[in-house]
Amino acid sequence: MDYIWQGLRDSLRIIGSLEPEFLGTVAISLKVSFISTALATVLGVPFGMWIAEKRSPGARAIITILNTLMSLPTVVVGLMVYSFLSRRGPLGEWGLLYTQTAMVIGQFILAFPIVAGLSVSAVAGLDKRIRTTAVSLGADTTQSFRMYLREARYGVMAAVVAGFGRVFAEVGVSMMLGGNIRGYTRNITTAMALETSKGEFAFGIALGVVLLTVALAVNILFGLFRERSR
Amino acid sequence: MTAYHLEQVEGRWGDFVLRADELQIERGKVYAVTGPNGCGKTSLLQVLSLLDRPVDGRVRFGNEAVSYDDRGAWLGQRRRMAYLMQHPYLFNMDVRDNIAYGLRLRHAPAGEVRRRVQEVMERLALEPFARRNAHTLSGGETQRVALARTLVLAADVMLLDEFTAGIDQQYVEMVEAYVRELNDTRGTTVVFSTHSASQAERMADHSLTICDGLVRACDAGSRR
Repeated sequence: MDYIWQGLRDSLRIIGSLEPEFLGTVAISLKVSFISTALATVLGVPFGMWIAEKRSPGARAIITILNTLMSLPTVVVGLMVYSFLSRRGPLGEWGLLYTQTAMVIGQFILAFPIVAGLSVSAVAGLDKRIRTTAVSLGADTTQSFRMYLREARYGVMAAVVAGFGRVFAEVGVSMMLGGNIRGYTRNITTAMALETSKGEFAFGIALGVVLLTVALAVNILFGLFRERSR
Repeated sequence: MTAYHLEQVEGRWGDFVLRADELQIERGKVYAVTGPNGCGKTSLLQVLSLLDRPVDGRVRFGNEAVSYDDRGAWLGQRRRMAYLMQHPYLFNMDVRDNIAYGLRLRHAPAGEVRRRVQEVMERLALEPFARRNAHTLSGGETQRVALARTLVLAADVMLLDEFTAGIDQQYVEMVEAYVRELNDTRGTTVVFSTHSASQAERMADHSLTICDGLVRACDAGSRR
């Protein structure tokens, strides 16, 4: 047990001293996850709101697929994107493998179904009179959509926060597509896996504390938005 | 001067058909739409609000034919009218912002929005809950806020679907007086639906009745 306590004590020292490598790893995690979540938000929220309004069997099938993809294993996404980006793959000549861009692509694929699927739920719970009311008061198509989005804001924010939580904590995509290159694609989760395998518990635990803190903050935000959307 | 002119208009909602062979609504007058439940009062107001497009016939608003396909012109015509729906929805924001919504859509200056919202809130006794979220209001309060949101637009035409439904009697007189005042002072054309024969008599210059889906004009108004 001693080495665990020792690891905890050392991790607090690492966090307190704000070592450049520690901060760099956290920054890469935040940057890649923010970009992939932002892309998933820009595309997933309008898509979710659009598909939620459709009544066709095709739309229902898409919603079912989105819900299924919410629990997509990260290594499957990693493998899929890897096969496209590797040298032998159809997009191999782009040279994206083991870059932050590849990590963003993989994390986007993870976040999109969550953001879109939860946006569907956020919109499905809205009052059907919102758009008619806006139009009856003189709103054009864009203005009525903006009001619709505004009314769904807490549910949509919860969707975005859930998407961020998913990609920030994943390891499969980052490891397979980023390659865990020090100072470039090494993020919190891949660094933790590496440091643990090296027996460097302190650094791993310090990163784990940051991961847990962010996960806690994300969950608190998610809960707040869910509460306000009811 | 006419506010609306409907010729051979036919609207369909599922199996229900509403017809108006020849209907003229004069500018600056108050019209009551009466008839039993399900006769088509709301459907007529939906057509007049230009939100529902008839399957046949011609609708003229003022001197212009309504051009449903030209969205810019259609929006311009719709913004000259204000429509209170039968079961109004208030947005998830405070009362003041709900009332200001239509004015902000029309890009009214902030000072004017404040002044007009304040005025209508005073007239309809809404000041005590100006900053309350609209979703926390009672049914009667919701109706008064929705009405305020419609009246504040000071539109050429006001279409009011059962505008005093659910409002306490003490406020009904206040609301009716305000609508009448807007008609008297600004020449606003008012078309309202009601189940109350006495309200139709108190408020309207003319009545429109709907029997078997056919809209007919009557000279029932006795207000003036």
